[in-house]
This record gives sequence, C-alpha cells and structure tokens, in this order.
Amino acid sequence: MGKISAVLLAGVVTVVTAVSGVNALASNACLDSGLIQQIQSKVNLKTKDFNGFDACQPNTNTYKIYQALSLVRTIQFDASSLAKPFNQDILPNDFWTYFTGRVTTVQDEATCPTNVLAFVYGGRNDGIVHLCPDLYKNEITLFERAETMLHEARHFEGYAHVTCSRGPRNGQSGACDDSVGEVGSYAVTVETLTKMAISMKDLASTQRTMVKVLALTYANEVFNEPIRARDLSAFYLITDDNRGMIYSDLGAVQVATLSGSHLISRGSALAVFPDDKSDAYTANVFSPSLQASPAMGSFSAKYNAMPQASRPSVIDIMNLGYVTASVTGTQVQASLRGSADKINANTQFEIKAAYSGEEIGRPDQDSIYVVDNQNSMYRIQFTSGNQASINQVENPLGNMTQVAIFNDSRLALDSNGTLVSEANGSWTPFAPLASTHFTKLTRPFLWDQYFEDASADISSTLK
Amino acid sequence: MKNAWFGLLLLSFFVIALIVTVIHNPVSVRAPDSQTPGSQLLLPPQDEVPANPPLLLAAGSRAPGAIALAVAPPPSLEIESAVAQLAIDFELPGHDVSDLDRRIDVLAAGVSPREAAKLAQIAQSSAHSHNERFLATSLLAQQPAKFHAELEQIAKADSPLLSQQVAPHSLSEMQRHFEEANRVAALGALDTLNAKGKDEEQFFAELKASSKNPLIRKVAGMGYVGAQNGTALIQRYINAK
Repeated sequence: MGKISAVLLAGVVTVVTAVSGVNALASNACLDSGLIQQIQSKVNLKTKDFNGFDACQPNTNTYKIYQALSLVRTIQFDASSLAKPFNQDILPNDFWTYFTGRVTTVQDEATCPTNVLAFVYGGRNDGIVHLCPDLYKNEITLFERAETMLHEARHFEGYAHVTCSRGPRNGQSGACDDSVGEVGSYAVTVETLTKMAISMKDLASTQRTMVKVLALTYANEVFNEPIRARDLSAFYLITDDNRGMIYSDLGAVQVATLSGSHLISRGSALAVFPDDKSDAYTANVFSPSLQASPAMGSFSAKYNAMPQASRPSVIDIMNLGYVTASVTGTQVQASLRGSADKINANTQFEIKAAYSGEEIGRPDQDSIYVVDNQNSMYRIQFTSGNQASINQVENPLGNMTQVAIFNDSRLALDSNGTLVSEANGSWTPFAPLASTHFTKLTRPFLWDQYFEDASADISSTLK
Repeated sequence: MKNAWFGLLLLSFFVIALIVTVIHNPVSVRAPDSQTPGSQLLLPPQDEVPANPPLLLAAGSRAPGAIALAVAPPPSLEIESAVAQLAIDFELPGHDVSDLDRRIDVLAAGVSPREAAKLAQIAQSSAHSHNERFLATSLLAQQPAKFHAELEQIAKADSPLLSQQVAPHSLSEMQRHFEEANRVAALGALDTLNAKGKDEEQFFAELKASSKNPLIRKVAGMGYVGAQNGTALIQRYINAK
C-alpha cells in the first residue's frame, strides 16, 4: 500500500507540474539568502509583495528587485581598460558602494505617471527610488532593471535632465542630458552598460553583445551634444594614384577624390578651398545634400560672396588649443580663448602650411606655427593684449608635412608620401596603411554625418 | 498481478499527464534533443507563468524526464521553448556562463530553415522578453549567410517605437532602445557578409533611405559603405567601444 501511495503521489506531482507549466523552476533560481541579508542591511525594500517573499519565486516584484540589487551588489569586472567617452569613470567598480551611498529605500508605487518605470523626487535627496508597475514587466531584463537603479541613484547628486535639442527626442522636455561629459544620469546609463559589456565577469556572449549595443543606442540619442566616439573620428587622404580615402578606427574606405590643395577639416565636414579663385569653395562630407547648404562658419560663408580678385588664398582655418585662426597668403588673423577681438599678424612671406603647437610636438596652446616655401618654421605667439610676435624656430618636422592628431597620436606624411605615426619620439610607418603612398592628409573630422544623412545618395560620390 | 496493477496505474498517470500537458501548455514539453544539450522540461514564455504557482512546484520540484515519452512537438515550438529556457537561464543566480555559451552555440549550429522562421518571429514579437528576442536574433546571427533573409526581416521591421518620442525612465524608452539594439545586432551580422564577398549593398541602401530611425539609418549607412569596400564596418563600430 505504501508503494501505491508513492506512485499516486508521484503521478499527482507529475500531473500538477505538467499543468502548471512551471516545472522547470530549478532550485538554482533561488536567490542567495546571505546576499539578501546584505542587501537588507543597506537598502529598505518596500515592495508590494515583500511580506511572504519567496527567494525561489522569480515572478514577484520583491524577487526582481532583489535580483537586480544582487547584480549591483556582486558585479565584478576584469582589468579591461575602458576609454572615454562611453566610460566617464563616474562609477567605481564597486557599484554597490556607489548605489548604497545614495539610495536608502526602493519602494513600489501603486500608481505612476503613464509609462514610467521608476523615478525620484528632484531636490528632495531623500534616498528613495520609487518603482512603478511597468518595471516588473517580463520583457525587461535583469540588466535593464539594474541599470535603472544606478541611473536613478545619480539623480540624487543633483543631475537633472534637460530639453532635447536634436534627434528623435528633439524638443522633448526633460528627456536628455546636455553631454556625456556632464556626467549626469544618462552618462551613468551608458557607463553602466559599457562596463557590463566590456569587462563584466561571468556574462554570456549573447548578453554581452546585447548590453554593448544597448549602450550604443543610448549614446546616440540621449545627449544634446553628440557623443564623440573615437571610431567616428576620421581623416581624409589622397593616394599617390589620386584616390580619395577615409580612414577611421572602423577601417579605410574609398571615397570621392577632392580637388584643391587646401582641404580643411571642420567639425563633421571638409572644406575645400580651391587653388583657382574662379572656383567656389565647397564643403564636403561626401554628401550631396550637405554640399547644398554648407555651414562652415562665417569666414567660409563670406568667401564665395567675394569678388574673385579679392578672394584670399586660404591655407588653413584652425581651431586648436586656445587659438582660432584663419591663415591666408601672408596673413594670420586670430582670436585667443574665444575672444571676439581679432589679432592680425603679417608674416611678410607666403605661408605654405600652418600647425598647432600640439601638432609639432610642443605644449604651447597660445601659438600657431607656420612654414614658408623653404620649409623654415616660424612661431606666431598671441598674447591677451591682442599682440602677436613672430620668431623663427627650428622645424621639428623636418621633411614631414600635413600633420594630424588622431587618437592621441601624431600622424604625418613623410617625404616619400608614407603615412607615419609617432611613438616614443620616433616615427614609423602607420601599420594599417603602410603599403600605400599619399599626397594629402587632413586633420581628423567626424564622419557621423557621412552615415546619418538620410537624404544623401552617398553612392553618387563614392568612386 | 500486483506488479501489473502498479504498471497500469503508473502508465495511466503518465498518459494523463501527457494529455493535460499538451492541452494546456504544448510548448512546455519537448523530446530529448541533440541540438540542445541539457534540454529538459522547459519553461513557457515568462508571461505565461502564473504569478503564484503552488508551493509544491517551487525549488526542487523539477522532474527530469518525467514526461519525456511525449511525442516531439514541431521544430518551431522546440526552438521557442529552447529560447525561452535560455532566456531564463541567463538571469539565474550563479549561472554557468561557459555552459550557456556552449548551449547557444550548439543550438545555433542546428537551426533549420523552419526554426529560423520561428526565430525571426520571436525576434520581432513584443510578446517575448528582450532576452528571448535578442537571443533569437543572435542564433540567426551565427549563420548570416544562411539566414540573411531572416536577419534582413528583423533589421528592417518597422515599429512606432523607432520614431516616437519617449520619456526618460519609461517603458517605451527601454523598448525603443531594445528595438534599436536588436536591429543593430541583425545589421551587424549582415555586415559580416560584406567582408566575405556576399554583397548586401542594396539592402543596406534601401534601409538607409527608408528607416525613420537615425541610428538605424546610420548603421545601415555603415553597412552600405562597408559593402562598397568589402569590409565589416558595423562590427567594428559595435566592438570599438
């Protein structure tokens, strides 16, 4: 009879288990009780189903919050180094210390503004994160809940959102941060996801990819100043067989060949000042729609309106260090530290090229360096008294020309047209492009627009 | 005689269990599957789980093999169950990451065309969790040449979430970013074909021109330029961070 009972019981268990559909709730779904105690000692949980909480039952609010906080409590990272801008080093590797230093209570709210997941009261600094019913929807992942907690914690440090000025949220009040460098709550979101993606231990590869791409999506949308990821900084080259090329961390791509001796990087575009003054200058990001309405600054805007005979021979337009300068023929007109006052310097010789202090390997930010046709170099130093002094200096570039600072390193073309990079004071061929020779190298510009402009038919400008 | 009675009783319970299970929850049952090592009774999508299951079914109630006699369900249901289980296992405390990666790789390697269609459906379905949806995309992404049509379908799927305004800390914000991420992952997989000589140029060009979402346009633009140059720019873009 005992055997019969056992079989009956087994059968009932099997039937009930099968009907319920939750038979795969494994024992390892249970949250660690020691960990829960650690969380309880620091954070007061006021969830609607807190009483009777079952650490093995995942479909309760309390479980989901403990699970998210467990991740915040236990997350560990390897030694991978993370660069700005995605990582602003706001969060220590010990997320838990950061979180509990700002949040004392997480509590469910029965009613919330429509669609809201969580919120804090700005200005109260009461350490209470209010959680809304939508946060518990099953579609949301553990990582998204944990990131929400850290985002909210950042608000207690006085970081509020501002009105969006671009992108899909343009005009929306309180839905963006000004920039990632302002290190607000969205910077925390991007940093949290990036740290998880790049250096979190014990993360499956699929999840790593998901978190990584999520970081990208936030970075693209939530900052009024577009995030300047280094891989979207590019420079333009012309090969010795006259092919245009853009190089970035994404690799080298072939693009249209721009004519004109003076290709000047300006933000997200290249300005092309023609050698023949009968031609107009153009702005080119290889996007026809942008060519139609170039926004290249007041200097450039005036250029085409000038009578041909009056058009200067534009050598360079610089906005490097403390100096903003236009370099034309024998003239340099500059302003210092954003001042509206213009300082004029007349070199008495035709300027062949101009560089910033950093470009020639000097630390001074208040000067530019110009080279004449004999390759002699002169320092033009600007002072706050609207003065400029011109003195000949040794030319540290030798026969190298067309310097660019790319990813914190100096690149230049040597006398053979080889692209070389500097490391520890010596110049060696730039490995990714070592087999090609070039006649032209520009300063870096951002090529986001190259990809983003929906109206552009980029194929028409690709070779 | 007594043994026969026992056997009959036992069999009857198993038959009842099987019938009830199939009626109520067909996807929770699956036959042993060489493509999914460790496969067992699998959870349905999370939103089908009762909020308060009987205490009897809590920890330790797993009954491995109890209804393994069941007839194998259609492959599309099998893959759905496997994805659901993996999505849950992702978040289990103390999960074995290398085991998860191995299970995903094995599952991905055996995806059939019918299963691929189901995966594409899961990837686009808001009825599934973000974990399930991204996993579905990832399984297809492991064989982009074979499943490029499904990946294209995911990448170009329209959604109001892609263009509507969303508030901070909102469900729709989280959904929008997931919708973007899922499509970028699909585009990243298609992008690898550029480097292998299979040209997705036309697809990228059309998506770049038609998408209402700036990020999708940008990434599609990268794919297009990559196709022009035979390189995988999107993968580098994703991995450069």
